[in-house]
Amino acid sequence: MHRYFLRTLALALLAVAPGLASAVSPATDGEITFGMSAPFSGSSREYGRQLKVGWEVAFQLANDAGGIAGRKLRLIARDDGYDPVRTQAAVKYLVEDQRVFGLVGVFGSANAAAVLPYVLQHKMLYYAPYSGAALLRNDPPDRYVFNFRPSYTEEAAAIVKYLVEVRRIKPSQIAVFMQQDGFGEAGWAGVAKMLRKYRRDPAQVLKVAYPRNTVQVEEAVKVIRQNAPRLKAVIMIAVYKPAVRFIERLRSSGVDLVFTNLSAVDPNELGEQLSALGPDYVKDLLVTQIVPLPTSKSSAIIKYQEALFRYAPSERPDFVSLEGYLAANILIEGLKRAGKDLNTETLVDALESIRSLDMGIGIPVGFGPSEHQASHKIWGTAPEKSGGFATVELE
Amino acid sequence: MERSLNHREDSFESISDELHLEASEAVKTDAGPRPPSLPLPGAVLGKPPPPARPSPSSRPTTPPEPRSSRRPVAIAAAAAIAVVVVLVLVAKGQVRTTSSSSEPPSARAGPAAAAPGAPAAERSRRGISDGEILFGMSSPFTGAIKELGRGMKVGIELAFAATNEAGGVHGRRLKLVALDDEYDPARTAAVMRELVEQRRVFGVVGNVGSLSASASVPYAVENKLLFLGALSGAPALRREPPERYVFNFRPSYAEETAAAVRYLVGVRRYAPSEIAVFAQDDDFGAAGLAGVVQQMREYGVNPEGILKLSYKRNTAEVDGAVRQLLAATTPVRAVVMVATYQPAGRFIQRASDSGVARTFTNVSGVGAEELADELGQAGKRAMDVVVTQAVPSPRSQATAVMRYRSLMEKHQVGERPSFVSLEGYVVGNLLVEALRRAGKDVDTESLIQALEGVRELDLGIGAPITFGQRDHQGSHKVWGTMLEPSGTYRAIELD
Repeated sequence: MHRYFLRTLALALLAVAPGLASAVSPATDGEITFGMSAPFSGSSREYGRQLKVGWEVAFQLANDAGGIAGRKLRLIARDDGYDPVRTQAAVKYLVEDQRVFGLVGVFGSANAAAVLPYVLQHKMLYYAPYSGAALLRNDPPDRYVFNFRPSYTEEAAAIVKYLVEVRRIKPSQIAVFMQQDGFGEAGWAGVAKMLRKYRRDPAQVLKVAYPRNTVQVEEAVKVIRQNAPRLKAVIMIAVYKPAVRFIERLRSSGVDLVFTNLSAVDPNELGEQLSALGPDYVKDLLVTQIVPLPTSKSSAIIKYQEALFRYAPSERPDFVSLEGYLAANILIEGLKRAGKDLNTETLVDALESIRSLDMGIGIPVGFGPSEHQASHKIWGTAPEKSGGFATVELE
Repeated sequence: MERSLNHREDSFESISDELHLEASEAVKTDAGPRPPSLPLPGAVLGKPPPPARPSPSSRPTTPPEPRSSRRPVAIAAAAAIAVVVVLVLVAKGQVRTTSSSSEPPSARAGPAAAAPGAPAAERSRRGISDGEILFGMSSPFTGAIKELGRGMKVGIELAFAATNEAGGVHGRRLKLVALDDEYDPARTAAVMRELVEQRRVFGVVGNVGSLSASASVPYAVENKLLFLGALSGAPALRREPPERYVFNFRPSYAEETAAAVRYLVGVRRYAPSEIAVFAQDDDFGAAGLAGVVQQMREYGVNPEGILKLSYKRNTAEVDGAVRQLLAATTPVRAVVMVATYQPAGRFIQRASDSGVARTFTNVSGVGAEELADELGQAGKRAMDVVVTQAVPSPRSQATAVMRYRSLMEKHQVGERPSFVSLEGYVVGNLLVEALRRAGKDVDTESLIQALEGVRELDLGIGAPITFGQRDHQGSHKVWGTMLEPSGTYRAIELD
């Protein structure tokens, strides 16, 4: 009898749960809720964690300053394990069950491809995804899609230009190591575009790949090793674990090449894991960045560091959390401009009105009706043997 | 990327025409007799009115407005006629349109006895009253390319409607009077005169048909008449330095074909020697060919060696060109086409049936939607067909393009979004912005000054618009689109 009663009570509570969830919808006066789908499990979980840290720190800072037009900001994060199918389920859950106001910081290119049609159909804000893929950067840009970071095309262009013009490497001596999915393809498209500018036929480029969500790099390592005599550099479009393993295997077999990676690699993890292997492993390694060094002493970055220390004291400054933090602050500026009368349309209009905002990161950021990407700036960095990063002039 | 939300089916087309007819009639009433109380230009300036200004009472007898919209869309109709054909040569003025005689436009009755000698200052506020500014358009609304005239008109009227709804510009409503020049350059001169002397328009906007530019541009320049946003990439509209009264929004045909060649060589990896040109045998074709020649020189290729195929303007006779293609000594794998949709569609069918060429590029002036219809009827949409465009996809999810579509749903029910009407919409908005900047006391000279002051204007189409004293072409951006089997176009990167 008792057992039966408890079960009924439990079921009743479960039935009420969705109702409770919808109570925190954007309609409430007191709160604005954003949703994030990212990997919090699996080999890419560090990205999700750092991204969430950056966003939450920015939100807490804004909330402690009184919120936006009296409303507090809240983030609901959902684990998708970097699996596009799970991203679809996560986004659907966030939108339909949690009734979030918009989506922020959704991680991954293939993941974006999986959810973008749904997002646009629902006229949901898709803000600052962690991806430089072209499908998020239509020309002109989709109304509900806003990016913080430069495109992979821009990063790849900076890398190829650096290799050819600064390092004096011939385009024919460049190979590509890429993830086998939408992320790899998006990065490769950028590399191919830039190589064409140097009259190099992309079809002739040596391309090796590893499967998504794995560290299976053996085949790629083998092919690069065989071709090493005619190569000078490898452009890597990879996440950090396979990237580390790839460099480790090649370096340990005595292959001497310049390695470069897109910012999406999570540079801190890459640098740390490679320097732990020995000083030779971080030699000739270039990582492009889309935010300044998180350890920089510029005013804006000091503010970030202080916020991190206050709200997430166990966390160290990190490229990924800094990206989340900076992106969140532009969104907060948009929310302020939209004011009390907030809905997706007024927020989009407000975001499109942000021109040349000086956040103190060295470049002005902003949006416009034709411009939904806040920044076009690429920084060059090289991991140091002692840990940390040195800046590299890309031109 | 291939989203096609807000897609409208062709079946709405006939409804569209009916509704459009009503809209036209409404405008017609508006454009009727001017209330005598309205200040006329002469009165405003305290000068006597221009000598040959037609008396208001004569106006109602003049049937205004295009009649084209009354006709159902007859895509396969008649001989293919150039859309944005550029014909600078007045010598070619004898060209006829197939249906011109059956649909005499109002302009035909327009008096040639005009007032050419009116002082400039007086003319420059013509068409402006306290409550309204009137603009004119001379475009084909009958004949095989009437869809392009209609598209431009629809787009400009959308921009005007949105502006008027929001209170107009400095309190004045914007109005467009569009007259049919039947795609006959000889008619264009008369239509331009009627617009200026009878209808007393402030300026001319969105003229379609480069063929007519040979008649209309000199007239506009001579009479200090604003000539803005014509649907043409012809050099006749792009003198260097630019003529004061002539402003273009769109890139030139040469810019489009140069981009096409770069795409074929850079992205598709064709050797320059594998690329031929198929162009209309007039200045439209010549304008496009110039861009190919220029880009080939960049590649160090002697332009003499390019295989140049052509067809006769106003026909769809492509057999000779196809024979030449088959007989070519060096194999041709890609063709840059500077043609209108009917000969273009036919050439693509023949050339691909023969298995010779694989990839076909077209300039925006081809009429992308009409080309898709042509190829769809022939079951050839799966071909490798690229169209360069002066505006982004009308199905884009960008703010400005979504607004264009929602205005269309409201004001032009049943109309299908198209590249042409989007271009008209952009041109209309550009004009509105310049009028805002010119202020309440706008006249032609201050409007020109405002236009020349436009820098990096973001109308939300992806490419900011910039003018200057030395540059009267607002955009140099060329978009790439590829035809899908469904008949829509998807965006592609050209470099």
